[in-house]
Amino acid sequence: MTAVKRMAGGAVVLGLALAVAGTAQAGAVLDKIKERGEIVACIKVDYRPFGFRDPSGTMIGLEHDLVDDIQVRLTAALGKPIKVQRIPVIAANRVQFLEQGKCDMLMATMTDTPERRRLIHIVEPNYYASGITVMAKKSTPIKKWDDIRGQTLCTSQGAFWNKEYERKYELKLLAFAGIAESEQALRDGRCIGSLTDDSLAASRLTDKEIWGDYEIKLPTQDTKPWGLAVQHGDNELFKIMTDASIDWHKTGKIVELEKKWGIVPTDFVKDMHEKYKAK
Amino acid sequence: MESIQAWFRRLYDETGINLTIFYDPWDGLKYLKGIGLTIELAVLSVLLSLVVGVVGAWLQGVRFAPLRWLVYGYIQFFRNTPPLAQLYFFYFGLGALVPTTTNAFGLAEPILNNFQWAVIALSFFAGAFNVEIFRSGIEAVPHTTVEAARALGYSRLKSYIHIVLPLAIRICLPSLNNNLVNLVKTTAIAYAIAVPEALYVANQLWSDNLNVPEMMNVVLVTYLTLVGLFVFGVSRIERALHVPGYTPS
Repeated sequence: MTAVKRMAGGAVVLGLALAVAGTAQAGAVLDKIKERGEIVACIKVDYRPFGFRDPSGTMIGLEHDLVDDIQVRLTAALGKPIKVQRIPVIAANRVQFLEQGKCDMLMATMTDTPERRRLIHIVEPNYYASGITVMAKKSTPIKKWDDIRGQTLCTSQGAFWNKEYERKYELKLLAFAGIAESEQALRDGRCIGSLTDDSLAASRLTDKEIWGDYEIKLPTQDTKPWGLAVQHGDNELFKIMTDASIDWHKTGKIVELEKKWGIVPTDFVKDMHEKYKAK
Repeated sequence: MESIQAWFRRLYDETGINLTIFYDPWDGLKYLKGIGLTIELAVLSVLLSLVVGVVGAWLQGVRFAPLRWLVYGYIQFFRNTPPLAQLYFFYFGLGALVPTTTNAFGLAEPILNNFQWAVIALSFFAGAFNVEIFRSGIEAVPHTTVEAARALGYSRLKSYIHIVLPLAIRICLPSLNNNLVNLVKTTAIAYAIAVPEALYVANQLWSDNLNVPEMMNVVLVTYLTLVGLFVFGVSRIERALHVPGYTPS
């Protein structure tokens, strides 16, 4: 009994120590960035046109442009040139990578959810938003959301809609580690369609050679905002990110980037631009 | 049941240790089904890999050389490539080439699904090792014993089934068990082709609930238990088949 108590006491002390360490760290990540002269960004390379590789292997995309903007801001704020190191992540590991400090910021087409907010510090205003739809062969007879009930759909591991949609439509989901595998499974006929993000589906369909036979089947629903995130505890870095996000909406940077990357303009970005321009 | 759920919910609220499988019935059931599928996958591939091993070892001894070369090629291919690469090769590489059926929507669907491909890939992978293990056992059976059997009128096949194999199995049982234990653990790679076994379900759950460390521990305990039970079972078999004076106890 006493041993148990002592252990419990030890755990409490450890917990307190961690809590103290957490608060004492304000600005710690920013200091680290300054010292290294480098910010490490967790980012996607499997999500054209938000993050992908060009034929030469260079990582590019809408989110990469925004990270470049962060780099400019950090260089100005810290008074020394800051480089960017990009760590490619997938949906299933991105939150953990940031949480463990493998990177200083996370910008990886991630939807803002309360569960994620518990673990990482998500920046407001949100920089983008997308909803859920189904992409399938043109000949597939699905017209409304109820038509997918009980069917097999492909998706990727870690996508936030998996559990909700699996329950709501009694789906059989084939979730693969990467988007490429998931799409290959769709083309092989392993599933009747792909449960996916509308922004991703729209950009895929621009590649007629591979996706000429496919189309977006259902109206987008459950549109949710995306969040850029940093670790909990560094309010200075968080403030730089918040200012950047406000600025992007104010100046219409994301509106321009949508144009640059050939993305169908989203209402979210338009509305945010109107809202912040007025301020 | 209710009190268990309440306890784990309180554990989450008070310590942040989030074991959803113990308080969310949906998550719990999913994980149980995952364990069930892991067991199914393990049992099927263990049995099939044994068949592959026995047949392969017999073919290694036939007079017709091309058959022997075939077995040799098979062993080299499956022993010298990683099982995960084999699984991808089967599912994405070969999977698209097999005949298709039409589903309810009139779309073409490959006849073998991901679970079946996983069983095939795992059986062939472990089977390649089993062939070599059986061969080592067969070669350890004294020539004189085989000759005696032939002298008594056994054909090559009959002496293989009734004399050589029973003795060979007893000799190679320890290394066979090793390989099969490995196979049971290797079933986890089926998660890569979306077979909803224990690791895949755990991955889904930790993506939904962001309780990675907790689920990692649950997965570890799950496999420890499953493999522990399997090892217990095979060592019982080992003891039951023990021939005094012939095999080391």
